[in-house]
Amino acid sequence: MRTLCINLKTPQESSSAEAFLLLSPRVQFRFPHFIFVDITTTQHLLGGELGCLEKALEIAGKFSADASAAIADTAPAAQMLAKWRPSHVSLRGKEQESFKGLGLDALKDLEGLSPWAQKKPVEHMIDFFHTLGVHGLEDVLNFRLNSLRERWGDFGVLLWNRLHSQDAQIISPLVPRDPLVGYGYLDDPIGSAPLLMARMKVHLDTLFARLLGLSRHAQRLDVVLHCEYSDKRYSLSIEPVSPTRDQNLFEDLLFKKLEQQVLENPIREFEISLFDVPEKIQQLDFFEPRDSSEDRWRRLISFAKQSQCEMGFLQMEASHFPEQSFRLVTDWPEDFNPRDLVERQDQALQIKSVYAKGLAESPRPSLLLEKPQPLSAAEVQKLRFVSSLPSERIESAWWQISVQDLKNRDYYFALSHQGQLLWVFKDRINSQVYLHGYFD
Amino acid sequence: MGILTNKNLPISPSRNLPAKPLPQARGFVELIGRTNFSFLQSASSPEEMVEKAMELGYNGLGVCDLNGLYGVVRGFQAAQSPSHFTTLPAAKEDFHYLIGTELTLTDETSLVLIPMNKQGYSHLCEILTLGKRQASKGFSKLSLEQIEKYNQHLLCLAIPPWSDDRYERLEKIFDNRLYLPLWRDLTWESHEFCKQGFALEEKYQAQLFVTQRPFMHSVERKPLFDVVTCILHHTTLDEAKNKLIQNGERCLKSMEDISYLWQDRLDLVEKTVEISKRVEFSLNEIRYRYPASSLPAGMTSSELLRDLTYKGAEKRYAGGIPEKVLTQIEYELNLIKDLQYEDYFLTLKEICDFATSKNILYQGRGSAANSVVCFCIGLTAIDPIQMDLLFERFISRERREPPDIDIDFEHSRREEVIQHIYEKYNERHAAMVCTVIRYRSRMSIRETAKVFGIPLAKINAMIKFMGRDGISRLLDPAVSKEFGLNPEQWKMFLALAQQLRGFPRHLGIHSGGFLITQDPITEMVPVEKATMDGRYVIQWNKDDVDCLRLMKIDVLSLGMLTCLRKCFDLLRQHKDIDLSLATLPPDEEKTYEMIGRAETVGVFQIESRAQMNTLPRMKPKNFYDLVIEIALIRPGPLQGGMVHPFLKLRQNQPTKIKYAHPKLEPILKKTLGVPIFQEQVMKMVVAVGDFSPGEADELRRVMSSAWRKQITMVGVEQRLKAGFAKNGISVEYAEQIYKTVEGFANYGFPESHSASFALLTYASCYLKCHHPDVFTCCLLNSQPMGFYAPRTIIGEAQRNGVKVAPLDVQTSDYDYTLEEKDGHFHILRVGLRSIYGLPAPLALRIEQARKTDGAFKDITDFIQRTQLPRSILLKLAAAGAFESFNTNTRELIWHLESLSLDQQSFLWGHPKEQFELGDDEDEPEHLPFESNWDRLRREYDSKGYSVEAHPISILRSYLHGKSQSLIAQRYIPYMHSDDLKRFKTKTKVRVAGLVSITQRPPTAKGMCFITLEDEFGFMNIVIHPEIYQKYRPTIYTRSLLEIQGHLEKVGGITNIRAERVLPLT
Repeated sequence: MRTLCINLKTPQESSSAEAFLLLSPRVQFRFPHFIFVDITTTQHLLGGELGCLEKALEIAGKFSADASAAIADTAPAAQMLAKWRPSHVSLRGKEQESFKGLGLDALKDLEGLSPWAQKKPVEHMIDFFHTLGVHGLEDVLNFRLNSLRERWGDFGVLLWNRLHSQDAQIISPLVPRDPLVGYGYLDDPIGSAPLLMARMKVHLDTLFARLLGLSRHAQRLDVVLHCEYSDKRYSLSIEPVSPTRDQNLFEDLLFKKLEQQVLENPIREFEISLFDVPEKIQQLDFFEPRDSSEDRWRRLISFAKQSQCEMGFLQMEASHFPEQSFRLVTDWPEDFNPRDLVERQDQALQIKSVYAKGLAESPRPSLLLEKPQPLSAAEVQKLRFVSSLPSERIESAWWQISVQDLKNRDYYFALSHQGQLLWVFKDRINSQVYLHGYFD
Repeated sequence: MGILTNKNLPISPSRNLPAKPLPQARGFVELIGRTNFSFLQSASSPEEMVEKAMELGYNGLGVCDLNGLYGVVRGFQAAQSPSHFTTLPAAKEDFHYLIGTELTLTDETSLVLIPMNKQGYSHLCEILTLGKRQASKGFSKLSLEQIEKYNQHLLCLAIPPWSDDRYERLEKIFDNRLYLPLWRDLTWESHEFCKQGFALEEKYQAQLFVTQRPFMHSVERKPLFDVVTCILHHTTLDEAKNKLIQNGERCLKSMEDISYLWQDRLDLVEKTVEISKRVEFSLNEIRYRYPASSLPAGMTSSELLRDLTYKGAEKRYAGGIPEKVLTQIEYELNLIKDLQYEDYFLTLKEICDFATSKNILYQGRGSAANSVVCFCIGLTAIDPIQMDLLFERFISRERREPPDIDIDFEHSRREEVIQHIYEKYNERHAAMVCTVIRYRSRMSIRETAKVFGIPLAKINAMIKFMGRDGISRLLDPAVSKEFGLNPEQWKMFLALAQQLRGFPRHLGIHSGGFLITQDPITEMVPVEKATMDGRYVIQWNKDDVDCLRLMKIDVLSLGMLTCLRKCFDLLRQHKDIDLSLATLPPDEEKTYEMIGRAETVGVFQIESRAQMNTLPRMKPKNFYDLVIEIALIRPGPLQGGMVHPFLKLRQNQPTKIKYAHPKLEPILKKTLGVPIFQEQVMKMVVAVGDFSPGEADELRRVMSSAWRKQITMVGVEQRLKAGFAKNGISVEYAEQIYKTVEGFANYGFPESHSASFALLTYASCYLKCHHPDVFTCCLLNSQPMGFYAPRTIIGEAQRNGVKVAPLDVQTSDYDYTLEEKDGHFHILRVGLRSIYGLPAPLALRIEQARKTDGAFKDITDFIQRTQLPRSILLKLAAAGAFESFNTNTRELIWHLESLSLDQQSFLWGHPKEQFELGDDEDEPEHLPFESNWDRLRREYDSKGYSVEAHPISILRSYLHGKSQSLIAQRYIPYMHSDDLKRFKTKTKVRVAGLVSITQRPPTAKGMCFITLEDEFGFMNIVIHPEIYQKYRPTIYTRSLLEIQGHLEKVGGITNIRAERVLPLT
């Protein structure tokens, strides 16, 4: 049997073992921070024992920055090597060769799945060996079973067995039972979104590592923030268009929501719950009649996102300027139907006009240039303007100090030499004409 | 902001200007003008809109504000009688001013209604009243069905969007009076509306016309329009986004621009003239009928008024009516009859009779005091014949202005008079005049700053920094740095805040202006609900009402009348003296001596620091001197630099007075050649400024309007100086007179008004001089009023020999009361009303409990019988009201704090709630000793004064000690107010005192005046601007001050010119 032991160095929840299910189904957690993985049959799938070790350390990094790991034939030896010879892989069937040069203190870590019931006998044994003038572990290997049994009884036998790879500890398959939840208590309450996000990231890292280990996808992430000084709670729920393991996506969405929150008081505690679903492999099918078009668009965006392709929905914005009147969002866009604000009391009403509400209905080119392109006088001369009057005049931002921010434009429809309908504007501040878009 | 002034004809970039001019429209009337009386939905005033329309050569303008006729009178005035003092291009002769309103219906559609004739106007008023009467402020509740009932004689201009259904429905109601407005403001929305309109024209032959739907008179107001939009939506410029208008095209454009924009449909531009010709109504047509009085059988109102006048005259002139008076009565009665004002006089007489029957003291003031009829029927108390007052100031056949009679009632009982008017005339015939609440400096800065996204903390700092100096203090560019703002943005922000200043904010209720009508009032003017329950206001303010020559009555209030009535009652009760305003001994010598010594704390009008400083120099000897004194210390004469020349002349009594022009002699003779009264200024500008009567009248209106336009004042200045120069009057004198005019525009008194006030001044002075106990008691019972806090009033009474007994639940009533005599005067017992935050019903409960079941045995008995909440018991204890129970106040407060008094408990008042001092587990023996200072502070905190000692008297021993060490160090020791008499002018002094009043009048060129008080009297501190700026925080945050400076003694007045102002620690 080949056993990988990961020493996470800091106390962990038993559920952290789930993250290592990527390496093998046989994973076991031992209090306070040891993970044992039976990689006998799975190591070849992961690039051999070294590949396993590397992957294990990568996962362990999500839980602890200075985690160490080692591979040996037995769990006790793997644990001992993980501490005293980090990243060591012992020779198959010859793990004792890896003990060379180790001091007697290493005996304390020769535990594996069942730790020493008491540390005192081990320490006593170490002292005794020192009294005898034995200081290296390889020297202890020379003692016979009977000698140890005679002096230390069952404890001596167990130690001898562990030193000679005779204590076969079986790692059973892990059955995940714990929900994907995280909890954080902040010693110093935090009111700033970036700082709070940084504190939550640690928990998100472990939760997503577990999610990955479980080979599940996250459907929804719920965060409950508890305020200091009051009973006020803020509940945030993140649900991307489709289940995903993309931690960055969840983090982005969560951060945006956090930024939008106006916190009454700083946050003292938070709870994070991740709702997982089995991996769902779907074929994108535009002709499938059961889904609404909204679902299909959501899926398309989701697929594009998984393929590292920037794609999203256009959310209409209430801006005077065409280039600022929409933005790319991952959520299904909210309805944009600007209307006058109507306040009612009884049946009486008061209307507060939204003067530029008509902009939402104004024609906009199918291809809008991100940056308007200046046209030379010769190019302007070639254009045929559809009307002498501008179709729209947009002037705003007079309060801006910098001239670049001042905007005062007259928009026209014009036909190009090739008969393409263009959208151009004349900047009334510098009299320059710009091309701003094309119509189909 | 400059970019928005760059206004060009909108022409495509590749288009060359046409070689020959385009055809022009032959006329245009802007039918749907909107003004800032649409409250934050427009950026120009009605006057600006009208003047601009005239300047651009329009044939007319319609002012159609949102859901009301708020601004129509101002527009009417601008169109009807342009100011004499502004130079505007002449309007077209037939400039047609139309009025209307844009109504928001409950289905969220809008339509504009314009009355075609008087009947249509009445319908419009009914519709507006209907929409406003049942809705809260700012809201409107109207449906098309309600409008349908009153649709006759109204033009309907339906605001888009339109649908076939809507058009058909409106056409069914309004038939050929329905029009559809089109505008081209270079937005896609207007393009779509035009398309809809043309489609309706083709399908239904709808009548279209062109408008600009203007929200401002000029494109330069676009930034201000954006600012008011943000204020309306409670947002900032950066966040407002599509709430802001897309461009600045919604303004009044030149005829060329309009013709160019509508070159394809010039007929629609000219259509507006045709529509306006259908309107025959003008606001001039509003005929006002005063409610006919309830007359005795067989008598006309004229006969009744004559009868009442002569009966009154017999009483007023007990020794026989003099010939001069008889002639004047006849003259006045004839004029009143000719102008049909009898009912107005009789109505006022009836209201005053009601007041008399209820023992409510009143007095007419203002120009009514010029009328002998008003004097005889008892509306005023001044004999105009004796005072030589001009009746023409009140009513003039030439001016044909309605008479204006203001009557003051006791401030605490005016509500009874108002209720009587409502009961008698009911809300269909009586409503109150509104006041337009406008953006003042602070509010305009605050709101504009919010719109610019300036953080609240900075805004508060800005407002604090402004102090009382207004926006001017912020104009220094260096100030922008203090608030961390870019200088450019700061300039922009201040310019907009200044533009916003004076904009209407909302309607308030006038303090007492009533419009009472014979016909239902809603046929004459829209009426809406006021914030106060059961009150209704018309949509016009007093200036609008005056402009349309409607008669209003002013039911005003005056605290001093309450005080005087209480004095007369108390004199009868305690001293068996029966006095009234009419029977006070005239020109009583001792009273004038007291006035000459400036011992006028608490009296009417001459109690301010400035007045008190003038009195020793003026030394009034008779009633007319008081009239002058009251009018003298007003911004008009002060700003015009008239005060010192007058006082100098009065002290020197020259035999011959020099006049700047011989024509001024008859005008200024009464006041030693110095203009003091408003009417003198008016007469002067006519006599030597070549003003026409019309110009003089406008000047009067300008002077009485706080919101006059800067442009008008510039015109007045130019006109005045030119006129004076023509008559050979020096530039300096002209400048001085202009300053006086400016001052009068802030606050100036006409002679008759001053005379009415002088009567109350004399009465209050007489009472203070001869009955200080009664006067102080009633003055305290009429609080809040006047300049001084109770502490100062009590201190003054104590110095005048009145003994003041402390607050005591065993003897104190709710009011201050007089007890048995001690020496010359009665003892004044402090009333429970003196305790801060003690509700009157609870105080009355104590009084009632004591009067019903006798004195309280002890504190337990008090608690059980009065059942007052613990917080009130604590207030009483802190104010020292339980000291007669022989308890230590601190100990008492300690126990009361821990007492559990549950009002809901049925055990309340039972022995279980026994309150026993000393039995408590928490023995209060550990409570520290309460020093005199601690005790004083406790009493000051609970009622603002202590009758036992003055704070400075307690600090005196400490100040003596400090003085010793100061002397040792060769510094000046502390002096008290009495010491100051002994020293000469320029002596260096150091004084300590409690601040009574801090004043920094706008007329004082940055000077600050503090009245400091110690146990011996007052000290006048004068702080020059540079010292004020240095010690500003100390001046406004500390109540005990140490002043170092030197004495200035002029004409019997002792001032301390401060060099250092320090907190007394």
